[in-house]
Amino acid sequence: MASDDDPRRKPRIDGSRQWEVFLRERSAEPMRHVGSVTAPSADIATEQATTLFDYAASALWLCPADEVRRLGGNDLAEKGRAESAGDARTEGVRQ
Amino acid sequence: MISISKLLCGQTAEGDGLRYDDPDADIEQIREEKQKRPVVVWNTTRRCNLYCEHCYAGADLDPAQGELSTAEAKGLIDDLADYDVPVLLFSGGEPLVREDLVELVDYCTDRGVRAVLSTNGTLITEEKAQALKDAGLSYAGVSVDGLQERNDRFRGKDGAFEAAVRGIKNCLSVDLKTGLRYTITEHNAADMEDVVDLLYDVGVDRFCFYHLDYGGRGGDIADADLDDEAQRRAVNRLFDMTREYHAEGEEIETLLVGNYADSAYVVEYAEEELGHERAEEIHQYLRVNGGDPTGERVADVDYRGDVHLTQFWQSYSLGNVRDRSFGDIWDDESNPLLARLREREEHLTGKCASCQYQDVCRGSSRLRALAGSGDLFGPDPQCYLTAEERGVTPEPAD
Ligand code: SF4
Repeated sequence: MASDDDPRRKPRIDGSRQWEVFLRERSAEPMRHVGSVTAPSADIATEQATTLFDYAASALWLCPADEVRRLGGNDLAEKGRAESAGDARTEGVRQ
Repeated sequence: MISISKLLCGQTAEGDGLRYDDPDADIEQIREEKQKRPVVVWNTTRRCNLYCEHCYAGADLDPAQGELSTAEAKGLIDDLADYDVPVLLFSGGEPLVREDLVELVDYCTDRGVRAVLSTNGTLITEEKAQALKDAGLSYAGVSVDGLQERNDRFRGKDGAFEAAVRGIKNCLSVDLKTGLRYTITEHNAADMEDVVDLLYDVGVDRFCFYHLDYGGRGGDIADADLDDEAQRRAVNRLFDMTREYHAEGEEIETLLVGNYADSAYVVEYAEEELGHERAEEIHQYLRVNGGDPTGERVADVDYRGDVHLTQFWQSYSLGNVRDRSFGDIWDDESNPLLARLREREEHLTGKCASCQYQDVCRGSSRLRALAGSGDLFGPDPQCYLTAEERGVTPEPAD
């Protein structure tokens, strides 16, 4: 799902913004995603991420979650529909 | 959750296997063994028909974008069932504003996950209670935070108290196990006992008391949190009240939630009131229980699918179930925060580092520590134990 319909790109309605946090522990290592922080401003988001990860990071990056284009992922709707369809089929056999 | 009625009165309950690895053969258990997977709180929606002062989810009436659809919710439940999650707590916002709630509870119990509900109770009609019961719901916890006037002020709506009690009666009338959820603050500590008496007369026999955590709007009213002395008074009163009820042959179940300094304090109380041997037994139960469960035995998935370390800690998310399955997110200890929280004994500082009750408390709430001092492993400002109780002998002055 990479379009603007992606619910993960929708802005929050409570006046805050979500920031994906990326961390590199040592210079030779790749950047890793370590979750997200939600805060009313970029400065507060930076402060939060620093408090949570500073000890482990040689570099920290923050990126607004609503700016991230995501390809692939865990298609929950597909899983849920498949399981429900499975239930219906089983019910059918039972009857 | 610390079961006061079990520890002080030996009352058995269906959560004993899950919580203390001590299942009672006569009572059907949620799990026979202590849980290995977390109980998951799912904030099904951010919408709510009330506007409570202490809401950690910051819920209100506006529809929120990005809520999991019915099909996505079923996909989430599949993931949780595959990961062997023992219990899913349908929470909110107010879960009853979701029209598919009964369908999802039904789906959840079909997949072998125990379904329980956290609600303000005001939307539970008798028909709804019956439908939830038929769908396999095991338990409804209804929030009431004081007697009528105080509760209605706190919850931002006149008539909320009466509506909640009506909801409780509707659940009980269809034989759905129902309990009280009560968040203790400076404003309502005085009402605790009267609320228990009133609801016991209605037929409620399970009472959960929550300490205030500093997430969502709970953070805005941190000033209304009880000071040390008031905490001790409230907790003591709950211990005494539980024993008084049991002495009368009325077996209420009472639980404390959200501050594991209570574990330490119940041992101290038992030492004083019940003797050393009993206190040691209680201490052992609490060691098995393992102290504060954040990031281990409890998890939260919010209405957008973000996974949190507890339901109160909404400002940080480990990842989103639309990106990876819940189990993959929860098992990923390459996240240094998750890894450190799970070995927090090595990192605790201040008074928690030297406390003799670290084994049953584990520093209590990391979220409150963060809010209090900005130090993730600093002391929990809500810890009310004296230095002597913590086992620290003050240095003699020179
Ligand atoms: S000092 Fe820390 S570990 Fe000890 S009871 Fe208080 S919060 Fe818990």
